[in-house]
Amino acid sequence: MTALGVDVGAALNLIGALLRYLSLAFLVPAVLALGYDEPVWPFAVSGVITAAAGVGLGAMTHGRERIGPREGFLIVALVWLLIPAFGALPFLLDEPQLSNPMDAFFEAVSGFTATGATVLTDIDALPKAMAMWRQLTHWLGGMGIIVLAVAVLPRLRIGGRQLLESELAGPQEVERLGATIRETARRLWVLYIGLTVVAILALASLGWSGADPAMNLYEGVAHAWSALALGGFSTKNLSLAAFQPITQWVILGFIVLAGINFLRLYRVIVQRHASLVARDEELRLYLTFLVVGSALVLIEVLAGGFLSGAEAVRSSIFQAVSIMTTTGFATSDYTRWGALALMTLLVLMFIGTSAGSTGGSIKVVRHLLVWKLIRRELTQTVHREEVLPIRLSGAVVDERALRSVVIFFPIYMGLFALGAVLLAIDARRSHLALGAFDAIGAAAACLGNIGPAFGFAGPFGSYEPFSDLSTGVLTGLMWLGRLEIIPVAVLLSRRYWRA
Amino acid sequence: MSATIGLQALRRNTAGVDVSGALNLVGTLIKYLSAAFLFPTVLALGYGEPAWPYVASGMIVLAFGLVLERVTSRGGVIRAQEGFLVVSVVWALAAWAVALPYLFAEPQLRNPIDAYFEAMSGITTTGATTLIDIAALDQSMAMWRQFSQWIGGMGIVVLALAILPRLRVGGSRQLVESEMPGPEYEPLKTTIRDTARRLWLVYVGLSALMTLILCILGWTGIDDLMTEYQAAAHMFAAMPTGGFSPQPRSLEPFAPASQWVIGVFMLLAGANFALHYRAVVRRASPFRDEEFRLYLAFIFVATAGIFLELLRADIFAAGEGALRNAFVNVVSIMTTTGFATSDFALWTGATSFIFVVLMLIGGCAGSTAGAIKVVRVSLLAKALHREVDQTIHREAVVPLSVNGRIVDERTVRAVLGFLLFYLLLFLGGAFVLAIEEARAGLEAAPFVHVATSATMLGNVGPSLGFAGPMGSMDPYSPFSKSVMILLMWAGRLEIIPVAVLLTRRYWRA
Repeated sequence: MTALGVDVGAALNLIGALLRYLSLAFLVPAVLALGYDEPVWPFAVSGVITAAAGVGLGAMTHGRERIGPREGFLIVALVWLLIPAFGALPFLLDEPQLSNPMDAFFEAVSGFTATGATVLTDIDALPKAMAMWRQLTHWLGGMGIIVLAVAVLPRLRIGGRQLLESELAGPQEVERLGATIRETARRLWVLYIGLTVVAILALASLGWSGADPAMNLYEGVAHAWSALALGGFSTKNLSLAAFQPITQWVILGFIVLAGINFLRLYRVIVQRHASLVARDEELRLYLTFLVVGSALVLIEVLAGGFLSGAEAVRSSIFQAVSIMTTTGFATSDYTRWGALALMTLLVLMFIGTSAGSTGGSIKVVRHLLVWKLIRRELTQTVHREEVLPIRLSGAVVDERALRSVVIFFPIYMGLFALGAVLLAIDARRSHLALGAFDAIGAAAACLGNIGPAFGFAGPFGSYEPFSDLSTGVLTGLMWLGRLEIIPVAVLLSRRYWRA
Repeated sequence: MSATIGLQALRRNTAGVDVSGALNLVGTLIKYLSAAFLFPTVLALGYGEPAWPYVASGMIVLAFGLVLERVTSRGGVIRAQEGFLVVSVVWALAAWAVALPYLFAEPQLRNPIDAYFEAMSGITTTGATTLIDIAALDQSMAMWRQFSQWIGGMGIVVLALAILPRLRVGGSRQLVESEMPGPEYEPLKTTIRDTARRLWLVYVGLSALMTLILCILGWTGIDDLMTEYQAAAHMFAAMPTGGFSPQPRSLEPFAPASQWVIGVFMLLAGANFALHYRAVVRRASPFRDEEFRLYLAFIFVATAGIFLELLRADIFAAGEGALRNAFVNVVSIMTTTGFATSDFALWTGATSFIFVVLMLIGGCAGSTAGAIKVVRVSLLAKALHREVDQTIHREAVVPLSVNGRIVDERTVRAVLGFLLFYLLLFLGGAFVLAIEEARAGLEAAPFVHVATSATMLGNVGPSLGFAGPMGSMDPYSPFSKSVMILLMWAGRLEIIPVAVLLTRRYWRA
């Protein structure tokens, strides 16, 4: 171990601690199962196994609690594999649709990475506790993603702290938000939990007031968890189509909110710096993309005559927002819309949310910076001597961070293309009728942590027809997409492991 | 002469770019282009076919060049800034010049968009066709189509080795091993003239050698089909990595020996011409060049992959045939030529995928090939590797190098910028084609449009599906064809010069 440049023991120690916390999470479905008179043992057994693994890992690596940035890469990569592995235990133990270990793992990775892709074919058939555990994986994953996006990745120099903080007026304010990962995480979690509570109350009151008979406290919690994490799992086969328009609009509002950088939200909601919003270029672009994307889909849906009236407006906006924010809820089966609408949705899959939110995909800030970079490249081709620093909401972005942003695009697109090709090849091998466009859609939906794709993997469909090998590829894409790829690439380099 | 005064006034107002001077140079180049029409005129007379389309076209082009030259002022020195305008306008106008005989006398190209498409495809050495019946062309018309590529190739040699590096397009100043004579501050015209003098010698020399070898194959009876006419026609398409053929089934009817010879010459045409020059004049080994070695490695790996896939899928039996079909088609696509020895659009999904990847990579910088170019792909790989290294070791300063020379960061940035542009245009093109054809009701797999976008932007030629090597782009709608014309044009100029023209800053002081 000493020959390695990375303290694997320390990394495992932290993962042990996280597993111990995860074991507590099994209490939620266990209590629910008691209440609904459903089998409790899958959750109890899973909890015990997880706790034992956590305690075991902790004991094995006792005294190795110091972690440096280098261990960070290993930790984030392992966390998003091991937590889902243990999170999949209840599925594996007691859900007949997920008795295949690969399927159970896929479902759990999809949950914890807040993707929302499912291999289930009949979600309504799940026991209530099991369905709620599935929703909870989203919400817990969301907590992890906030820490990952706001505190861990920037420290590992991925995405760049600068891009998150940019206009936030100098170091003092960063200080005020919390100098340590722990402090930052705690504050943002308070915000996350607060928003979740508001969402639950809003949804549940729709049920209590009779505005939506299908909504109740259980469904409110389930969908608030999924919405705030920008996940996309639902307790219903019909996703949000099972609910009233008013419920869909409320959830839409929370999705849009959750797609905003949590640091920004914290300042606006908790610290009341509302003026920041107007100056924030990323936020403005995020909202612009949402409006333009929705408008395009709406035009295509109306022109194609697929829906009409208020339903067309609501469903077009909802689908565009849901896909772009990498959520994956659906109010209508968009796979039946025309080729144009599908293309637009595919493009939206590559936009994603603001950095520092629970969303996935490429992220708005990267698009913004690349656009500025291209403009500068053209200017400098003609006016060679000019030095043109690139600014984001007024602050200069350093060249190294810009380079990382530019390089992210070919990596992301390369991985996407590779994924799509592997799916297409494997589909041919296993005689699965998978069109090229559907393969492209599935790869984009998993890499971008969106969830539903096209064809049989559409919003009311399932990834179940894919072979085990393809399911594995898709699981890998969700994992890589969530970690923004680079940490995994780092683990593959020889230099990382050398002292 | 009021036009002159008008343009001079224009020139004073836009102190940034000397539009008048740039157009003057364009006029001169178009004037010279009119000489090219002599060749098909002579052929038409010899074959007893109507010569008037070429005579008329030549006169129109000559007149246009002279008038353009006359109404613009010779102005001062053409600088890099005017260079962007010159190259963009020249390629757009030259394609119209080439299209004139098609418009006058070819019934299949009556539609101006089709004629312009065919001409742009020739002059950018793409090799995509909208013709359905190639065999129905007159002999002189077919040869004019071939010859337009060879002319385009002459332009590209200069473009790739003298102009684009001077304009610093996509980092090519540092990356292209060029025989660039003289220092940077020399006028652009002098650089072009000197480069042209040296490298056209290589180009013409290789062309003569190739014609001779193919003719010998014909004379000795090894390939009965290979007449002098066919030899010249295929040389005109292979050297500029164009890909038109007067044969409806491209290289398929020719003997294996001819296919091998054409394959090897395509391979040479896809390598940097400055390396050829140095190998011949200074006896320097081209293998010392990193890009050349990587280029050969790509071809080797792709050939091996396709060879194995052909055997696995039982498309060819093991042996020379399978190897030849793998090699010639791989070289043809990677060098962005577009010849085919077999309809590879009908092979398997895996081969289609390899071909699309090769379409995106392209040949070496400084060759007549198009697409991204091997050296840029290799620099991207190095930059990716460095990114990972620097993520771990933040303080490490790792310069990138090509051929042992350090590449400055501005060049790295330019390459990455170019790649983004390329990716954007490629995906944008595929998207627009797919949407347009969905609207127009064309039955085709979406992957065909992806391949078409790649093949147009990379100046390759054949796509997949109905637009495969034995097919035609004819089914595409006129709007799609216009998009494809733009892709060919922008791809040939390496995008940046065209994009620069679209910025407001370019036109201001």
